[in-house]
Amino acid sequence: DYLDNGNNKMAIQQADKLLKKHKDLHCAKVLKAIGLQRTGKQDEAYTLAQEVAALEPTDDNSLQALTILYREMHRPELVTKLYEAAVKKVPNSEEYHSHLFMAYARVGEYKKMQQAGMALYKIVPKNPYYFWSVMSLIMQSISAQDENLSKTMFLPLAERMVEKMVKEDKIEAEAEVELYYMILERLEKYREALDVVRGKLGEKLTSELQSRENKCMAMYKKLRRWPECNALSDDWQFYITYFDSVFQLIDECWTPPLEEEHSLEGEVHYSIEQAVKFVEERITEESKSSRPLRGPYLAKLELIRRLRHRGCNDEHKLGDPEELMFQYFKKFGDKPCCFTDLKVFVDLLPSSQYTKFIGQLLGVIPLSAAAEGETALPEDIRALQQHLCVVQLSRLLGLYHAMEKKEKLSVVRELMLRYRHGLEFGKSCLKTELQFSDYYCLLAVHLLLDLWLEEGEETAVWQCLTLLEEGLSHSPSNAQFKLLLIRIYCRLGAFEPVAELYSSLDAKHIQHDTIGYLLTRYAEALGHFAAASQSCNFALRFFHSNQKDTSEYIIQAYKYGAFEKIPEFIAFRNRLNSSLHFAQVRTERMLLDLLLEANITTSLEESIKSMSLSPEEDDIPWKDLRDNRDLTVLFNWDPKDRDISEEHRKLSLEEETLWLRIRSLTLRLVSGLPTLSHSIQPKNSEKTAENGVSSKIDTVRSLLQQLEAAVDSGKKFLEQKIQYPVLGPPPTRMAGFFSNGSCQCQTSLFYLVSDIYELDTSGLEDSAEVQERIGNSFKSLIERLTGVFNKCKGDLIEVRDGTLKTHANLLENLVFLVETISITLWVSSYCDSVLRPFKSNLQKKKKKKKESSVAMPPVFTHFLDYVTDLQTLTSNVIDHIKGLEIILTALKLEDLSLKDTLLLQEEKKFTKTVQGKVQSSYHHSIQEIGELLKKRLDTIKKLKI
Amino acid sequence: YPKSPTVLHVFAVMGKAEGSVAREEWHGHVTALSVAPEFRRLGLAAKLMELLEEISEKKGGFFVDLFVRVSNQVAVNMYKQLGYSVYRTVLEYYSASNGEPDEDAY
Repeated sequence: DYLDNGNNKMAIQQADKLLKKHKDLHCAKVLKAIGLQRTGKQDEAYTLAQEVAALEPTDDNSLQALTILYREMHRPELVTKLYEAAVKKVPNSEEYHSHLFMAYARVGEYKKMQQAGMALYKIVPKNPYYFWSVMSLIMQSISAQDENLSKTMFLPLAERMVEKMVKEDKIEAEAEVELYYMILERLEKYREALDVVRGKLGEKLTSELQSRENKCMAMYKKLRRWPECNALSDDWQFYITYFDSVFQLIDECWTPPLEEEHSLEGEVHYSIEQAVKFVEERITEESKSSRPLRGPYLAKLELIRRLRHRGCNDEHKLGDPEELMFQYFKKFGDKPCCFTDLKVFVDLLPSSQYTKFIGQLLGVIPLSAAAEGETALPEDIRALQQHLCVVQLSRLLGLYHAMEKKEKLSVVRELMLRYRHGLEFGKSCLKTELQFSDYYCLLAVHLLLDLWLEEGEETAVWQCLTLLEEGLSHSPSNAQFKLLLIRIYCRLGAFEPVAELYSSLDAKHIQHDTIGYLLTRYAEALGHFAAASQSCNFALRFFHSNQKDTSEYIIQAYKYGAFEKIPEFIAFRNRLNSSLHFAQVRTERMLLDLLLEANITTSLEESIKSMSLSPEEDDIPWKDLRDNRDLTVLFNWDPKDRDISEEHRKLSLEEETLWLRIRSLTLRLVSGLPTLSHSIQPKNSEKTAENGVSSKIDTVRSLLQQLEAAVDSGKKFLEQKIQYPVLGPPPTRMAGFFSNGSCQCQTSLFYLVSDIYELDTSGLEDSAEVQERIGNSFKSLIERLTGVFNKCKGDLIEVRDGTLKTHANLLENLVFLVETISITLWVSSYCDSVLRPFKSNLQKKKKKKKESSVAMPPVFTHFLDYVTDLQTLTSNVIDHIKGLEIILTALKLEDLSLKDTLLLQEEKKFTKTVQGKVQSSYHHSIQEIGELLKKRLDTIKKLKI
Repeated sequence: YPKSPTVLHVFAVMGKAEGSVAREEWHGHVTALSVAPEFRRLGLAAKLMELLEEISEKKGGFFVDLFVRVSNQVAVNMYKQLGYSVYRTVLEYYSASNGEPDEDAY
């Protein structure tokens, strides 16, 4: 009870009390161990648990408690041992055998699962146990590296096992039929599979709708039996397959066999004429139905599209697409989905007809103007939906893109008028519902975004934020408003408002993988370190629990016989494990922790140890990296040539991977630093070589080479100067890293490490050359750092002609500078650890000889000068940051008169708010960066030898 | 209707069978039902409910039940239109995260 309530201390006490009375009460011991585990005493908990486990307990309480404990320890393999022992002692226990099976399932021991399943079946001849065993065979075949082995051994064996049950007429459950189907499908025995589904066993398939039909269809397709595909019915999926099969049959010049009566599934169409007739019939049929159906009309357009694609001009039989789309709009224009329906077919319109087409649509919408010369507005929601559909189509056809700046601005005004008018209709909406006119606002913002990015109109971006904030105030659940606000604030370098917006999106589960990038790309880059940590944590928590959760799903699937889901669960887990985002947050989180803590609160060595980082280890599945990002999460109505393309996705993945490689190599190089230091000092060079440190430097040097290569590829990539659409994938930080000089600084730092190592091994005598090289490196390093610093100078916010201009890149540069200074300091403390023993040795010698003839080698002076310079530089940066802070605080936005008198009073209010948010966010960034740098400055002082 | 190259998230219905057969309590349960805003006003929810009922029927369910927020008038009205009736009100079934009182359910 205490454990359940989270009162672990009391639980331990109670367990202790019990143990005093009954010395060998296993269960009490285990409960105590759980208490210990939960209070952070993992080692004690483990020892205690092993004590009990060694006795091979067979009482249910102890076993279950131990299972819970091991699961919390993330040691599921120990559970298998536990039940293996229990089963040996109590060989006839159905319960323990089934626990053992599940324990194997958690760790994926398929072979043992197979045996455990059979053992169970022998004790209790229940069908599920038998089929657990069969499923385990399938899993062995899926996980087998050798496809041949799976096709010649595992699957045929599984097939025979099921056949045996079929022959004995012992098939009971739907799941068993599913399993049979799975086996045959994987064996590519499509004909046999079809027979099963169509036969008596197929009657058991009831859980999913159309389960039999869909399975048949899948098999017909595999068998290329187009006649049957053609004749089976389904909804939209049906039309697609229907067209596919008709055209296949036409291509094959198929004619119906004379004698046999049609196909297995009925009448077959094999000519265009038949298809045309069929679609027309569907439309006639539709007109009789009580609720209008979209399918038949869309099917007609789809048929035209396909005919055109084949170069056939038989479409005259079907009608003019422009007219058909017009008719469709008249019928379904008031449905919110009308736009997405028609979007697919706009290619059928010639571009010369665009304006006419839009005009034609507008003509049929009932709009009325209050007075002459005023905008005609819809009188009800239906008219509003229709009009909104036309506006969306106009954007899709590029009509707005082609406009002059002035025209665009007047469209923005019109859309906002319509937006505000439309709010009338949504007064009774709950705050969880969207407003009917929200898209007007969003479309207006898209136009303004064009003005900002393509025409350099600075006021436009503030207007974007203004309108979105206004929209959000009326429609607080609109995710699109939030997402676009996030994107624009980030582009302006203001992360502070983003955290709150993102949390109000209430991202769950898989979304941490698909849209987490919105946060993680910017939080750290903009100096919001605490928020960055948190963003990474969201994602990491999800990825780590995925591993555990998936095993639970698998167990459930076995229990309920949902066999076909098991491979899906496993594929899902694998996909998440090789997620690009997962690898990124793992790497960035560790870099961030080092940046914030290493050599400030704990030593670099300890930090690295606690992360179990090692320079040799690379845990990123480079070849299998999966891009799970949802890059179209932000709506847009852009024409195809401006939309996010497959090419953009490919390039973005390439860029992200290159950048990840640079970051991961940097992390591994930093983690190599402590491995180079002496653990026992002082000692001579031979000894260090013997101790295997020399191989460590080889690792570091090879990583450095890889880093150089990665940087080269990164530079080549950037030469392409790729511009992603503004709503598409955000570019990585790589371009800034190269252009502000941090990259050069960081690589030269690792070269310095290599030189210092050389000095360490060769000693102070006969190393004049290395010493000089080190001296030069120190000097050029300071110069380079100063270069990076120069890229950070300037004002963050500038007031120009009554509007604000922001310079977010200065923030990104500052963050890179702080990071580079931190790495410099870690390298410097390695230098220090090498030079200090040398110096004390020299001083000892001096004392012994009592003469001043022992000259100080030049490297000491170099180092001292360098440390002094570094200190000055860092102080200067801190002063600069203080300066920025003062300017930011002094900037009184209230005094800023908003020139645009066209702005409404309400808009002005929102503009002030968003500008205030950006200002406050910059302030926050500057403060966090400043704080961190001050801590770093303190550590420089320790470096004076 | 995933007909454009970008597959749209359109609708979903999750359900399960629960209860005991012996006590005539074996029934279908609607766990969640949602239709994307774009695809509302098309009668899809009714269609989805129909499908779920069909499966429940095939599996020998005696009835179908569900929970819905009292405030979700749109959904409540829809279910009523489909012939469902309020069996009982469960107090504070939905937990609120923002400190507001937990909401009741039908």
